[in-house]
Formats: sequence, structure tokens, C-alpha cells
Amino acid sequence: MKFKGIKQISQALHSKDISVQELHDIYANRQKQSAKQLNCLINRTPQLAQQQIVAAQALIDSHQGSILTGIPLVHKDLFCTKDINTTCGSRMLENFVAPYDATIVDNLNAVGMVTLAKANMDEFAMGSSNENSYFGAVKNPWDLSRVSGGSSGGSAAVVAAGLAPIATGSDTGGSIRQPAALCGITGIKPSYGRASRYGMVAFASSLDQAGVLARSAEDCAYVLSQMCGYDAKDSTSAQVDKEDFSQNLQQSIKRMKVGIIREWMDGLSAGIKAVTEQAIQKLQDLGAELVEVELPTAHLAVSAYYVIAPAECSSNLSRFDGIRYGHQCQNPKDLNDLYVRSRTEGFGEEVKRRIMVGTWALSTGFYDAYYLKAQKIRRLIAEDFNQAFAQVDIIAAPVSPEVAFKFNAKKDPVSMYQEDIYTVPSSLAGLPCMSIPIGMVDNLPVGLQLIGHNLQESVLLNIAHQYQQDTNWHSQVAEGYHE
Amino acid sequence: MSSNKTQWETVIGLEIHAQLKTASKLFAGTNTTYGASPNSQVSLLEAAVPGTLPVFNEKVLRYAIRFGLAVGAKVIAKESRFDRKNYFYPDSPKGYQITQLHHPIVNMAPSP
Amino acid sequence: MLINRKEVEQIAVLANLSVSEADIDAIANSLDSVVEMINHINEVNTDNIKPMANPMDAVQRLRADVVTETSNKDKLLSMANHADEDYYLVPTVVE
Repeated sequence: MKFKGIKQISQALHSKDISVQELHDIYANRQKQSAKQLNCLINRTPQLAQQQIVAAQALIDSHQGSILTGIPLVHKDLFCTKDINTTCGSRMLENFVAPYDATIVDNLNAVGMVTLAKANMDEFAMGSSNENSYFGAVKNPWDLSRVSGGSSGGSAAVVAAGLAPIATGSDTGGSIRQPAALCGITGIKPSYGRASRYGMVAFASSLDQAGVLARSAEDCAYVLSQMCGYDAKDSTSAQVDKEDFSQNLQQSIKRMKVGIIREWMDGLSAGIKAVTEQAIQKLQDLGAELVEVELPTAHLAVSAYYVIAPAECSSNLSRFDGIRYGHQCQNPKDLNDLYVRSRTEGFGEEVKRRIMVGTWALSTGFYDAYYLKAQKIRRLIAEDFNQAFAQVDIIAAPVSPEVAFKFNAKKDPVSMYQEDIYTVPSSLAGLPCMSIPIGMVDNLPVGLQLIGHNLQESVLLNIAHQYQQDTNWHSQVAEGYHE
Repeated sequence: MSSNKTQWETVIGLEIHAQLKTASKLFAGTNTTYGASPNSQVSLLEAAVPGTLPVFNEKVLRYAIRFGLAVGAKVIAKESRFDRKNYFYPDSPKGYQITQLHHPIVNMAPSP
Repeated sequence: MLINRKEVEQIAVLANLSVSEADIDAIANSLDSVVEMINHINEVNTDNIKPMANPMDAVQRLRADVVTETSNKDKLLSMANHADEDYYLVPTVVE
């Protein structure tokens, strides 16, 4: 059951081959065996799971369940879950218990999904290796001496190791796609505004999007369809009709136009390039037409991103002052000392670095030269994509310049930020994008990024599903996790 | 300072605070009853609980436009934006004010 | 260097963070390398380009003026490190 798709698992539940409790126990036992070793979970949620198991079984027994009823999942620990800790991977929120559920949590609860745990993550979703968690780095199931990627590294490791079929994640500049690629699974970030941000602890508000990590594009489609939808509590929520993203999965991709960015391909190391070209060749074999496209401003995306994201982060994280919730220092000598020491103790090094970069970029005299300028670059990049999508249906590109790297391999921030070169352009443009596993280099997984035009999630999932119907990379499991 | 007083012109700016007659707050659906007991009308948003988001009160927008028309403002903006004014202060739980600096709803004083 | 020790100290004050004497040079160096990287945004001319604040360029939706939240007082104060029945407790501000 553990590596089967949602459709099969759901059939087994509805035909009573297995109960929701039995299904839960399979994954809960696997979590007990492996979660500690991988350090992929922050808190398990057995009490909540028990309530949800009863409710889900009742839905199934009364024939009111959907395909997601009874399916276990893990939430990235930045989605607020009522009466359960939401730590954001930070000492600041180690003991924070939100009084409400995030909208996406609500949406998934509504159909009877069963919450097993909260997943480890880079502190406040800032990082590309999951080494920035207060609760320690997540290990990659394919090689325990290597990173899982970040910031949704816990979510990716959970799914890769078969500790849950589904995990939620969030993606600000690549935080779903890059760990999905490095752990050999499938992950999708929808268009900005598709999934409500209400109840997702904010990092960079104009970029943050919730999404899904799973074992296949098909599973992503089922969960994403339920997760997304207009939410009046998020005034940036896209006012579009709810969509069933699994609708077009079976369509042929014949004559679909796939854009290739030559400059990005040429910048890849030989191993990753070969695997990526092979995957693109496969899309061509399936009938897609390749078209070369250019994104002339995309080379400035990392620079613009590391102005916009830190600027928004420095503002969003100002609320953490130790008074209303969160870490408070011992024996403050006055109010200012309380603020400063609580923040200095509560935040980790990378979060503080980004707060400082953002504070600097927003400070008097720099606002126009940095934040405003970066927003102008952002528009140029979005326009580049608009031009490209006048010619193609989707763009196929690399996810990460490398496979999973060793712990402590990237000590200086700028080299870590360069991990994001292929993921931040589509983030800045707010476009839907995903990563699918396409092969191995040095026994480590490689992902392919698919980028769609605004609100074209179903096109992405269609091409990804067709690729996965014809290949087996997505069903590969790291050694030691088969049983 | 120069002794030549004619070099200086007196300019007086007024910052006027007015409470609007609305049932709920600017960005959240909590009461605005005057004299209610302390902390009894605080939304999760106003206490800056992580994950909460502001949603603007339509009536406030209508009042702002009416105010603009009443004082003879030259321009009522067709496109308006909010800005954050970032600073730490005990009465500002989020660490910023949601305000309008660059593209206010009423963006011009009456012409002299 | 674009960011020196003095600037780090000023930024820390604005951000309500403290920086120890032992770390200040390392922080200055790391911030400097980040600023050097982000300065590439100046390589392209952006005259007459409208800044993009929201990728959807969407119109914000408004909320009807109705009360939807009742008192959250107990919920909120229970989350605080120090509170009494009605208030958050903080170190004395005014003697």
C-alpha cells in the first residue's frame, strides 16, 4: 500500500479491503521506524489523526467519501493547525499553538484526509537545504550524508521514504520544486493566488504559495484540486472557479509546444544535462514539439528575488517580539531588551541575515534603488514569460544546477542562493510550476521543471502525467525504504 | 539661522485622526464599540497572529472617497495601494502600520 | 565594502536585533557579499517600467462592513508568555 497511488489506495478503502485505521497504522509505523533517522518530522499528531480516522471511516461507510477520504498526509510546519504546535522550524515558535486552521488545512480536512504529523522545514521557509531548521537538518533518503533540499525538505523526505503518500509544502522561490527534485518525487506549486495564504505563516507575501508533494503528477492533481479555491480571507486569492486538475490527465500531448531555454541547458553540468535532454527527448517521442524560447531578463532573477524576498520577510517577521506569542528571553531589563533579546535568541542565523538584508533594502534612501527597482525587474521577467508563452504551451527546464549535496557544503550564503537560479524566475512571475523525477546522476535523483502560463496547472499536470505513464522514474524508491 | 526673516515661510501641517462610523474595523471583522472592556475587540489579525491576513472594509473606502469629494480633492485615485510603515512600537503588534504613502485614495489637496 | 561594521550596527538597531562584537565582522562580510550579488539588478535599464508588486496584478477584494469575529481575548491572552485576566504583561515602560 505504501507506494501505491491515491486512486488505488482509495479503491482499497472504499471496497473495504483495508480500513482507514489499518492504512494509517502502516504509515504511522513507518514513521516510527524512519522519521527519527531522517529527521523529517517536527511533531507527530496522533490525537488529531485518531479523530480524523473515525470521521473518515464514517464517511466511507456511508458512501459519502471522496477519493481523498482517509488518505494520510503530513503538513509542512508553517501551516497553522488548530490546537497543535506550528513551529515554522524556528525556536521562536517552538511552543506556538495557533488558535485556528489554515484554509488549505481546512479544505483537506473537509474531505476527510488524515493528518499524521507536521514536517520539518528550513526556519520560516528560508533555505535551499533544510540545514536552517532549529530542529536540525533533514537527511536525504537516497543518501543520509546529503541534504534533502529546502525549504520543504521534511515534506519531500517524508514522501520519498514512503512515510506518507502526500505532504503539503510551500514554495516562495523553489521550496517545493527543489526538494522534490533532490528527493526524487513530484511536487507542484500552483499559480500565485490559487491556494489561499490564510493560515500559512508569511515569509514573502507576494511570492508565497502553498502546494503539494506526492509520488506522481496524478496524486498531486487530486490533492491540489481540493486544496485550491477562492478564499475571502485572503484578498490576493485568485477569483477563479474551482478546477478539477485531474480532468485533463489522460489527454494526449501530441503537438503540445514545449519551450526550451538553450542558455539554461548549456549551463548544466554534463550529467544533469544528459538526463534533462533525455527527458525532453521523451516528451518529443510522446508527440510534443520543441520550440526554443528566450528569457532575456531571467539572469537577474536571483538578484531581484534576494531583494524582494528579504524585504518582505523583514517586514513580516517584525511581529515576533516575544510578547503576544513565541519565544521570550529570560529576565528582560526593559521592554526594548525584551524585544531585542527575544528576537536575537529566537531567530537563527539565516533568518537574521535575511531580516538584515531586507531592513537595509527598505531603509531610507534605498527603497527606490532596491525594492522598487527589483519590482521593475520582476515585471520584465514576467513579460519575458508572456512573450515565451505566446509561442509555447509549457516550458521544460532544469530545477537545480546540482543533485543533492553534502551537509555543510555551502557555507557562504551567495553560493546557496545560486541553487535557486532556475526556480526563482517563475516564482517572480507567479506562474504554476512543478518538478518531476527524470533520472539519476551519481545515484542521486534529478528533476525536470515544468513551467506553465498563469492558471494552466492542468496543462502542467497533463504533460507530467503522460511522461509518468511512459517512464518509471517517479516510482523509484531509495534503498532501505522498500519494505 | 539667518536674521533675514523674509527667507522663511511658515508651513503648518495637520495630522488629523478621525474614527469612522463603521460597525467593524478597517481590516478585520471585529467590533468598534466605544468603551468596551480592554482587549475584548481584538481580532487575530490585530494581535498579529502568524498567518492572518488583512481584508479591507468596503465602507471605509466609500467614506474615504466621500471625504475626498467633500474637501474638493482634485483626484480620487483610480488605482490605489497600501504601504507598510515599518517600525517597532508597543502599540503596533505587527511591527508595521498599514498605511498609504505612494498611491493614496485621495491624493491631492484642493488647488489653492 | 558596501556594508561595513557601522552599517551592520545601524541595521541591527532598525531590525531590533543585537549583534555581538565577536560576530560583527563576519556578518558585515556576509551582508556585503549578498549586496554585491543583488547589485546586478542595476545592469538593466528600467525607466518607464511599472513596478510589479503582485504577480496577478489583481484588484483587491473588499469586505462588507459586518462584525464576524467576537471576542478573542481569552484565546489571545492564553498564547502570551505573561498575561493577566485582561492584559498582556510587559516590563514597566513608564516609571
